[in-house]
Amino acid sequence: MSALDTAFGKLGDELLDAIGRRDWAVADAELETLAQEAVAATVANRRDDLAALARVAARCHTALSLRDDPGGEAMHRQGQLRALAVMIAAARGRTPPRAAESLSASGASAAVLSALKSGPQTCPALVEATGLSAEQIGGALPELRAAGLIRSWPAGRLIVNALQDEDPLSSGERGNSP
Amino acid sequence: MTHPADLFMDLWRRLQERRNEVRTLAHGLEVDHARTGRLADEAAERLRQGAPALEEWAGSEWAGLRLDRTLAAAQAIDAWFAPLASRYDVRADDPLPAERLEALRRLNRDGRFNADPADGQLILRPGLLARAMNIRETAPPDGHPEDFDPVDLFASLLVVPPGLTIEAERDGDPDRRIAVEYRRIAAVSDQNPGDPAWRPVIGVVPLAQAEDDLPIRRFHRDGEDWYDPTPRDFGRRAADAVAGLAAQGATFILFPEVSAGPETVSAIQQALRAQAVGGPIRYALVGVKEEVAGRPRNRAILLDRCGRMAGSQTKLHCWDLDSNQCRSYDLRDRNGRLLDCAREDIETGDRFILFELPDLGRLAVAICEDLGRTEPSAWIASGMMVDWLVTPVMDSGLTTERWQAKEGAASSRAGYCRVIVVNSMALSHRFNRTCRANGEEDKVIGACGVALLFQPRASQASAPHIQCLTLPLSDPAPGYVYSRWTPDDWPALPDPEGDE
Repeated sequence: MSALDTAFGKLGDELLDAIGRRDWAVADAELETLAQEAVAATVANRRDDLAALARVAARCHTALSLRDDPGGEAMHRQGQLRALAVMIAAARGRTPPRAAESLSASGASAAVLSALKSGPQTCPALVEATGLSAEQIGGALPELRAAGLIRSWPAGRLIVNALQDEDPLSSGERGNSP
Repeated sequence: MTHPADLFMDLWRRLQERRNEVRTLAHGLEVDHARTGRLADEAAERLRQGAPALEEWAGSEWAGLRLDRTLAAAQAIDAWFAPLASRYDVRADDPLPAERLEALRRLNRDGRFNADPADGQLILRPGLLARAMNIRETAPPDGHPEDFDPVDLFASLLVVPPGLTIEAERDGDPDRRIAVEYRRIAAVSDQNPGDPAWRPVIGVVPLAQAEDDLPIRRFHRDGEDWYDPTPRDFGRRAADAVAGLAAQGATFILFPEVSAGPETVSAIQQALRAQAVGGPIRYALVGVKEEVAGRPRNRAILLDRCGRMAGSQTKLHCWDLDSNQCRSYDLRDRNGRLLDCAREDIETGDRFILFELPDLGRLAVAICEDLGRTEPSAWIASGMMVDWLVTPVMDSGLTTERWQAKEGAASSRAGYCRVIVVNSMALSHRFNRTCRANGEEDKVIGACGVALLFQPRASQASAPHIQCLTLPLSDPAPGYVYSRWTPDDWPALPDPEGDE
């Protein structure tokens, strides 16, 4: 556990303590810090910190939800924790794709981009063209799409992939035998 | 203004009604990528102008339907939803942002993208585990015409129908309709199943360890023999197992079919609550036996980290035993005569539920016999939309050769669905007694299989992987098993052609 993890844990403990002793000013200050850290981690895409913040938010929310007759003020903070946890979960559920330079440099993504220079292809055709496994190609395609480096379209039940800057109307016959 | 999701439902209906024509069209498009590229571009451009423009382009029943445009329009809408089904942020423009917001609102609020619940529920096809890789790309449908399913024309969207026709609960009765429901559970979460590096720990508690732990009452009614298993109270044992599995870092814990009565369930709930704040367990699925309105019911209940009920699934089909099964499990009448057949005395369910769970993913539960019946298993397999298919059973020890393994393998082969079968130990004692009486010492169970974990294949060239977890029948301490989901360390399943 990193020092920051420990610090996040302490923040959660003290938030619960403040709510327990009905010190709402301190509780709100701890919540504000939690929110600021969550936004900073989201913007910087610090995945481990987001995971740690998710644990803190879920732990505190669970602790409050188990209290008998917590009262309106505590429930108000519980609601804020819930909103914060939902925001952190949404941030963790989305991953920025790597930069184009990184995707083009090496690995399965680079191999896919290279293979597509000869024209649009389906995943099985890319497997054949690159010699990589279907899992490697299948894992690379969503990130390449998200990065805007390739475009894809359905052909019946298949999906055809092409380089983003390639005109699909002038190409098209590669990968016809998936 | 028409929302794209509602237009999709209309287009989907048209495609369903012309299934044979659509199959022919799809096969043609699969070898004409230039044509599909043109159609996709045109459809996407119309969609940018709004769903009505796309609808007009696709044509209508009265103004002349062009099936290729109908399909292209539906696929354009499917592609418009793709960013919602991706684990990556999509760096592209955002056509129809207000409609995208409305789609999210509908999903979060109503559990569906479409407006009219009578049409069923339009949902995202990939579950949380499938966001990193589209299995339909790595293992695309084969070319057999009879295997064509319009569902496979779409990568992002799936229509959950309002109902399904399933087999009768008993042989000889007519087929029946059940309701199908996609139920989205909203809760605070800290797990990230969409991360390919996520490795949950699965814990299994057989609970019924000795034969007497799960007494099976036999009785005669309406000229038939019936059986009715009723678990003893294992509150202390269950609570200890929950605490033990929490100490081992279990994320999801499972109890077999009919393993718990009300008192045991209450003890499990208390034990979950005790670990809720700092512990690792996020869900427990418990096979329960209960009475509702004077009738026995076989149900699996889903408990959250605090022990609160998050949902339940009632068994849909009865497991009626034939003479071989009665002999295997040494089921006799009050005079000591082996039964020729024995019917399961339960009130069956009339609803099948897909649970969308934070911290876990999309879960379906098929209790024992429900896994082996055609539906809803076939629908789950063709939809390829479930992250977890859990089957609680009450049977003799699980092995990688028995029916559960074959059915589980088939389910996991068909998609990206992880399958878990969990079993108690009581019937293995009965099975062993029969084996010893028949001199079949080689069949006697020593290490009792209480869980099978299946990792689906990732491509046509690969195979599912399987993990069988056992406990010694003679000394089942500590009374639970667990395994981190690390399928790379598990053996590959043999090819089904090689199975018996």
